[in-house]
Amino acid sequence: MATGNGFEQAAEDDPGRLLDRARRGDRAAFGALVRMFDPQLRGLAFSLLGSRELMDDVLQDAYVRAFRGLARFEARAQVSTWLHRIVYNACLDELRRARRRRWLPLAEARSELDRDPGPEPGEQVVQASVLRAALGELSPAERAAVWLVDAQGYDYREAASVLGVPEGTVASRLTRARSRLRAILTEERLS
Amino acid sequence: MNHSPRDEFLGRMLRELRVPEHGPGFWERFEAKIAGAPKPPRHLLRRPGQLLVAAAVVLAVLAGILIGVLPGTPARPALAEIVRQRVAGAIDRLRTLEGEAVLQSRLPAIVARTHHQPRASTQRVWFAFAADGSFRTRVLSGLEDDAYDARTGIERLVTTSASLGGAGRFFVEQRGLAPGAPDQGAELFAIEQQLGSVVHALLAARDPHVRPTTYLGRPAWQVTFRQTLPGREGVLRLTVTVDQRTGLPVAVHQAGGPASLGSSDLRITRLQVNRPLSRRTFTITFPAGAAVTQEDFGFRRVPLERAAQLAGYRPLVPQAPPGGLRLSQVRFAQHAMATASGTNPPSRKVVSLAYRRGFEQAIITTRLAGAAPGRWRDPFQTPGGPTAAIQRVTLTGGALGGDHAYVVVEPGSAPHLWAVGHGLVVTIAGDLSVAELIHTAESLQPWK
Repeated sequence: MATGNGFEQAAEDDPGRLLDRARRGDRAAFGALVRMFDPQLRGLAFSLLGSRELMDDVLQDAYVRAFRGLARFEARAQVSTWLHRIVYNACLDELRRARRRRWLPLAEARSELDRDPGPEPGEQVVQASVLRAALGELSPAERAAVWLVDAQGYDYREAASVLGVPEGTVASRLTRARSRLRAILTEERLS
Repeated sequence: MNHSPRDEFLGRMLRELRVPEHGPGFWERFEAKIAGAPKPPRHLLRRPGQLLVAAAVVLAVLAGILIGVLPGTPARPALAEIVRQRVAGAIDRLRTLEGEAVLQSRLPAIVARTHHQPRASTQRVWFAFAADGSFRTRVLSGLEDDAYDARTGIERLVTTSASLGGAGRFFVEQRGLAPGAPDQGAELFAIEQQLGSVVHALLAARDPHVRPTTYLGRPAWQVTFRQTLPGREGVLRLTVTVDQRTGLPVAVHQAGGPASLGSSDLRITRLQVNRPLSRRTFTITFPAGAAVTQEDFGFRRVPLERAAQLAGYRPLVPQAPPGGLRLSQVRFAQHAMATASGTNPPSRKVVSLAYRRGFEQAIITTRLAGAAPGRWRDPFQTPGGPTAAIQRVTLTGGALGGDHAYVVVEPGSAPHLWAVGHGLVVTIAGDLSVAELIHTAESLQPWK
C-alpha cells in the first residue's frame, strides 16, 4: 500500500488490525497474530511443561481454542494477556491429564529441559540446568507467576488476569517462588 | 506502566534460558487445523447501549495511549518485547528493500586530521537490497555506484579518485568473491551493515526503553538502549526508530563508545519493502570502450556436496544454525588470498558457507590447516587494527570438542571465532553474540 510519504507497507502486522480481521474470519490474520506472540507463549508453555513435544501439542490446541473463542474476546483486554491465559489454562489441563504427581519431578525436569533447547556454553550451562531444575521444584502456578512477572515484565494486575486469581494471590505466589528459587540457587552458589 | 516490584536478577536469569523452537511442521499443522475450524461468528453490537460501552472503552484506550505517549514515561517491558518480536518478524519476512537514506557522521577533530577525513560528512544515497545479500548503492550527490550480485559473486563499481578531487571515473569488476570475511567479499554495504548490527543489538538488548513516536508522519517506536563494548572501549548509546507498520528500523543514532568512533546518524527517507527487483538492479553496465580493472578472487558458487568433492574433505557444518539464520549459499575456492593481510599460510581448499536472515549474516569457513597448524593466527586480524578482546575457550561438543577456540570481539566489526582442529582452520563470523558463536562452534559436524 503506497502512502504519501514514500513508504510502502508489505503486510499488515498491527495487532489491533490483525485482531479485527481475524474476528471477521480471516484465518491468515489470526495466524499472523499468534505468530507475533508465539515466542512469549512458548516461553510460558515450556517453563510449565518442560518438554518441546508437550509444548507443541499444547500450543496447537491452545491456538485453535483461541481461534474458536475469538468471538468471546473482550475488546478491553490485551490480546497478549488473553492468549497467555488460554495457553496457561491449556498447560494446566495437560498437567492434570498427564496425572503427574503435582509437577515434573526434579530429575525428569533436569534431563528433559536440558535436552530440548541444547546446552548453553561454558559456565552458563551449569547455571541454566540448575535454574531449570529449581523451576521444576515449584508448582505450575508459582512457575507461571515468576515467569510472567520477573521474566516477561507483567505487572501484578496483568499476571492476575492471566492466572485467573486475585493480585494478592499473585504476590504471595511470587514471594514463595522467589524465596524457594533463591534458596536453591544459593545452595548451588550461584547467587 | 509497571509499578509491581520485579526481581531483576531472577528475571535476567530466566530470560537467558533458551526456549526451543517449534518442531518441524508445527505451523503447517496449525494452519490445517484452523482451516477446518468453523469461522468465528461475527462480533456485532446487538443493542444501542453497547455503543456507549464501546465508546467508553475507546476513550479508556485512548487515555492509555496518551499516557504512554507522555515524554519520559518508561515503557513496560512487555511493549519492548512486542517491538522486538515485530522487528524479528519483519526481518524474517524481508525479501527486498529499496529506498533512499541520509547518512551523517561526525568524527572527533584529532581523528579527522589523522585520517584526512572531514569532521562532518553527509551523504544521500539510493539503495536496493535483496535477502540473498545482493545490493546496489548509488551516491545521489556524486558519481559513486556499487553493485553486487550474490548469485554470481560479481561486484561492479564506479569510483572516483580523491586525489583528483573527485573527478574522473574508474570502472572495476571483481569476480569470484567470497560471501564475506575472512576472505575477500564484496565491499561492505554501509546501510545493510549498519542495519544488520543494529537489528542484532536491538534483539539482544536488555531492558530497552521504548516510547511511541512518529517518523515522517507514520506511527513509530523510539527504542533507546546501550551496548557494552568489550574491554575498556565504553558503552554505545543507540536510539533506533522502528516503523510500526513495517517493523523495520528506519532511523539510527549512535553515540558514545570509543572516542574515535564519533557519532553517526542514518535516516531512511523513502522505503519500499518486498517489491520485486530485477536482477539488473544488482549489476552496472559499463560504458562501451571503458577501461575496466578486473580481478578474480577464486570463489565459485557450488552445491555443498560438490564443495566437499572438490575440497577432498568433509566441511564442518553447524547442526544448530544460530538465531534463525538459514543456509543461503556455498562457495568454494581451490586457492584464496592468504588471510590476516597475508600473514597466514596460503588458504587452500576453502569452503565458505553463508547463513542469512534479512540483513543478518553469518559466515562459516573451513580450509586446510596444512603441515604447520601452529603458524595460523587470527584470520581476521588486521595489522594495526583496534585492540580486540580475545577470549580463549575449550569447545565441549561437536567435531571440535576438546579443541581451543578464540572468540574475538572488537568495535566496528562483526564478532568472530576461529579454531584449528580436525586438520582444518575454522572460522565463524557475523551478527552473533559470543554465546551464539560458541554454541555454533560446538554444533559443527563433518557434512554427511
